[in-house]
Amino acid sequence: MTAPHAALLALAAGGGAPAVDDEEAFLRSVSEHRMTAAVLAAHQQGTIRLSADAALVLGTWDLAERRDHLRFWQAAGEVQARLAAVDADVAVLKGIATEARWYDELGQRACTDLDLLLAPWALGDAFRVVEAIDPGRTYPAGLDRLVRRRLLQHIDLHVGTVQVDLHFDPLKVGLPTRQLDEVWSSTQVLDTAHGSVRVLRPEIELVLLLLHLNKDRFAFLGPFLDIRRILEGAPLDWDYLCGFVAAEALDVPVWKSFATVAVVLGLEHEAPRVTGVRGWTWERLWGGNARLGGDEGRARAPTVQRLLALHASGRVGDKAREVRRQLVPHRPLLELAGRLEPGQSYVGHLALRLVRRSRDVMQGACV
Amino acid sequence: MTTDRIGAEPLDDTPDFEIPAHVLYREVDGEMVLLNLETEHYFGLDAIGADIVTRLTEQPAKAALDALVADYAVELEVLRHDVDDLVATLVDAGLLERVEGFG
Repeated sequence: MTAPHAALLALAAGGGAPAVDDEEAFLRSVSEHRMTAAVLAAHQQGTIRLSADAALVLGTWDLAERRDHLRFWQAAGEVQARLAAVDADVAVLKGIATEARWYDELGQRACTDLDLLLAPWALGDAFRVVEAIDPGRTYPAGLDRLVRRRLLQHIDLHVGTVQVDLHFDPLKVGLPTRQLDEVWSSTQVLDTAHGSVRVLRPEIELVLLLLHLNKDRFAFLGPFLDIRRILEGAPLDWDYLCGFVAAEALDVPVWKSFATVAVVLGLEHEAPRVTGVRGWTWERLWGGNARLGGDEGRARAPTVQRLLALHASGRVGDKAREVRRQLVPHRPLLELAGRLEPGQSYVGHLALRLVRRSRDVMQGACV
Repeated sequence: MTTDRIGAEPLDDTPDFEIPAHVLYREVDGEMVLLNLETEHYFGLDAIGADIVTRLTEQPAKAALDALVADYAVELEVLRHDVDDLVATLVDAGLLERVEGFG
């Protein structure tokens, strides 16, 4: 587990950073915790003092980040053009959308892929959509049905060298988002120098980012800054925000995540308090030592992430369906993930999978 | 190497050079790092090189040269030679280009 360098934590909390006398370790931490732009800005503003060599390294990383973001923007435009031909549309989630909206310039918010949300009206046509975006690949015949039944929440695609995470479900926590139409109908068009994209309403974006932090086990410090940016920059409607979270029954993960960010960044905002059994188990799984573990912490995240859906309030039917989906995935899901070859025994695969999954969950919960 | 001598008479206050759209750059502590998106090559300039490029892309070349001569207390011909070399290197690397329509 690689916790952020003390100077990084101080910078993120908005305070003066202590002197950095181990620049090599500091730079490793900057990279791991996706803080390049924030540290470079702090250096240029004099909040932190680095050697010229270290600053140039950051400058080079900054250029690489901006280069990647330009590619993401090009890919977003390409996807929009391809989907117009099949009468579908997408919104851009997180990444470059969050950056364009809440940060000052390109490359300030590290991102590694392009997250898109498919318009609800196109869900029944998922097969044609994914073929339009990433043609030439083989997709399972049951794809449309999986998406229509809300069993498949996303798919990884490629546009050129850019990895595209196409969400069929905006929140992607395992449970189907209840307010799908509200999420889409409240999107707004954001005009930028790099193109116009549809983005989420700020309140829903905040929820999505908090859940994403939770899913990632709060591994990296950089994404914490998104929350601060939105709180500082968005005219949030807190009644709407609380109502949205309550309607999804995701109070525990959302408000616990909010409280986590508030503590780490020293924010004055107070999240609604969450108590009860689910709050207690959430703390055991994602509290304290589990946070800010960098790449190592992130590597362990997928195992525990599967338990996130169980922290919704109620939604027994959805939870049962999610547990069934995880333990006994539908054949097309396994084929899509490349885990089941044609002719391979479905039942035999499931039995082996069940044994492995149980072992992983036990190990993950104990870490 | 491209011969791209500078210092011709400017037509107006428009800079004679620009950093092309396919180049990303960042100034850090007076130095500059550039990335050519077409070739994926990075290029670093020390403080003097960065100063020269900044001036050449902000004002006509003649004005830039005059200011550099004054600031660095150097012979005009020596400076012109060094700047020519730098400009040629940057133009060859696709990191700098003459403003279209210039003389």
